Amino acid sequence: MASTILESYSSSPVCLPEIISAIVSYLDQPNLARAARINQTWASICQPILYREIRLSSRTFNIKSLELGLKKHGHHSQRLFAARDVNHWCSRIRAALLNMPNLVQLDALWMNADLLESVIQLQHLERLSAPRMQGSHPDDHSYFLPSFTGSSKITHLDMSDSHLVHDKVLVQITRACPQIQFLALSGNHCLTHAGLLEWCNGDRHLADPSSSSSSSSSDAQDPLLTQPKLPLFTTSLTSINFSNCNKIETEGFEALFQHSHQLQDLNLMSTKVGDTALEILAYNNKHLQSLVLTCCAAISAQGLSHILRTSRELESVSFMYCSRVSAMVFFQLPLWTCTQLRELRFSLNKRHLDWVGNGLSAAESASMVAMAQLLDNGNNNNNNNNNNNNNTTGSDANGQDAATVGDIHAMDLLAVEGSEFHESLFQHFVEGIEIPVSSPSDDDDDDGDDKNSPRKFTVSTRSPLLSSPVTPAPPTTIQQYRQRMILRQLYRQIERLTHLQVLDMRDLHLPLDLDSGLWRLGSLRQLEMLEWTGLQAPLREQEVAWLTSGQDERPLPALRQLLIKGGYGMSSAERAVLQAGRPELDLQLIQVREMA
Amino acid sequence: MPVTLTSLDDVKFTVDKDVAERSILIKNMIEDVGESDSPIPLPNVSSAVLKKVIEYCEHHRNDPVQVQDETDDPRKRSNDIEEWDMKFMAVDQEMLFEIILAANYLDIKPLLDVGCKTVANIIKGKTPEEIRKTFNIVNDFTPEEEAQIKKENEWAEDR
Repeated sequence: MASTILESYSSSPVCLPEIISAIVSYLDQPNLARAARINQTWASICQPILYREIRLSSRTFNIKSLELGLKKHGHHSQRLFAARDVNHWCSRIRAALLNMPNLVQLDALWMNADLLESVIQLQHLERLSAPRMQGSHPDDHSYFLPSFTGSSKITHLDMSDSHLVHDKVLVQITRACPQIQFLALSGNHCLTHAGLLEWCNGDRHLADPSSSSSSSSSDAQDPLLTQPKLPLFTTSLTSINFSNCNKIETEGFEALFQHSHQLQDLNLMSTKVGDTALEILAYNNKHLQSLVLTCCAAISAQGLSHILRTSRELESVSFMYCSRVSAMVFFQLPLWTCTQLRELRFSLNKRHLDWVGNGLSAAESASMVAMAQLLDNGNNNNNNNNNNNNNTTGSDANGQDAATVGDIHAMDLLAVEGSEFHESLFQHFVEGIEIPVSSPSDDDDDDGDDKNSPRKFTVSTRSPLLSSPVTPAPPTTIQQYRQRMILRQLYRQIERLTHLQVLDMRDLHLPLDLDSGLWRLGSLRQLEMLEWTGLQAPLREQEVAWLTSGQDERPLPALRQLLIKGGYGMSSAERAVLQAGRPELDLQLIQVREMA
Repeated sequence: MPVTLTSLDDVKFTVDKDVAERSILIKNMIEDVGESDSPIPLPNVSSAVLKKVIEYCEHHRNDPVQVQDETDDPRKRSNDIEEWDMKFMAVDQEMLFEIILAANYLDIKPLLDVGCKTVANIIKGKTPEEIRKTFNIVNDFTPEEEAQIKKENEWAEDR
């Protein structure tokens, strides 16, 4: 051993196989190919690495050369990535796959369906990603049916945006690949709940998906229907994307969630998923991390609240443009427990405009009062149980103690039907609530009457995160007052999500200004991206002054991007102030109304 | 407690133990032999190179121990060399190779990595002939073999 060290020491490191291996591990595909031509030693090291992972992305790559190389070195190949730009070679890539028997991963975008003919030969395949597969011959399904004979080791299957996977194919694949964890079938308009039910229960006959005579005659001998019942469902599934699969009724999702326990990432955008399915999902899958429910017309605040109060590990949720989701989602009990949330994207339907105009029904107001109570108790309990909470939260909650009583009565006020305006009563509550309690305004003792000076906002409070930086203009109408009460609860629910990094609030139809409590968002210390769509009024001098106030403790200290889309934005003067005050902020105003 | 290292040309270097133990070879030797005042002979490393290696180890004495991440990914990045390391590696090719060999022999993984990354960066963009010339590598292919390997790898050279 000692002699070999001495021997090798005298030689150059670029002749030592172990060091060559280390060097070439840093080379990309073209450089690796050139390095393989240096000499025999380098070739013997570079070739296996070059063929282990193949990326085809250039339209002009030499297919003949690849065919030649794969004949000799294809057994080294474990991964093949074929971009859309090479799909004109689809049939030759398909043939070349037969020389790559050890392939573990195949990513092929926009290929023809007959690629699958070769895929079923790849018995070691673990990841198959073939979105946008082209071709719609009726017998395309034959690659999967009557029985899918491909690799049973597949854990990752992406066949999104193609119509190849219908109900029977789904059942066949899941039967053949029991270890599947990731399943993406988005944009599929063939798949129905029948497939999911069959998959999960294994005891229902599938409705024939196509009524054409040719396919129904072959169905007659379909072994699928005559096979004995199997325990079909796999519990290892962690990630599902069924977005835009609009033929799946919610009962299909209910069955799926009933039989799954490890789901983490779920995309159900634009599906018919309903409240019951969400409830089952929440209680059966405790490790849910990411959930997309955007454009789900069937879900309501009720179903959503099961998720929000059960999924403690949830990190990302979006429920934008769900026509049945009202502001109630922020008011229903118990409180949200998904306090690990990093990303929240939502919009609300216009139901709360009705509350603003006409007040709440007795039942609704009771729910809100209870909510307000719990929010206050919840905050206090948090502080008692959790000593590692930082000081800010502590003082915040203490500050709110004083407001609690006022809150509850204020909720009653919100419930006043009609728009009758009791000036004295009204004024009393406004004072009790909106004037900052945790940090009395200690500014401007000497230059009192210059109310519009920006300095007023920048120096007014010791901690701009904890209290309103301005004395809010009193609401002039009961409608305005109700708006503030709704926003107050909404902000209070959101401000508990202290890990939030992305907040996307769309089309709330409520005024997002300091007078209405916008400053409450200031305590989201980790928020990096804030997106507002459809602002009802432009950001004013005060809001901009607030955003640029404070040195060590400015509101939203981590904010990197502010995106305002549609509706109002801000005047160019305010824009300049904001950009000067926070030069690191990426401010984007998109399709906002022109301001004078 | 300091450790004394003796180079090939019999020069003695005294360094702190935690600096010397950046080398897994030396660390294992100390563990095997136990605490001892006798110098550790490093008969494969010249004093010029050992001085350089010690300089590296002193600068990186407080680095956390590298976690072996044996990911399946065979392609790694070479454009993430720290500035200090970059300057440290700005030496002539002979010294670069000596450092790599010493790092390999002394089993100092981070130094070996940085050396290999430096060589990889030299290779990038060069033709095989240019690489051979740069590093004095003998071409042992027959013309037929060379033509063949060029033909079968051409697909990968396309940009």
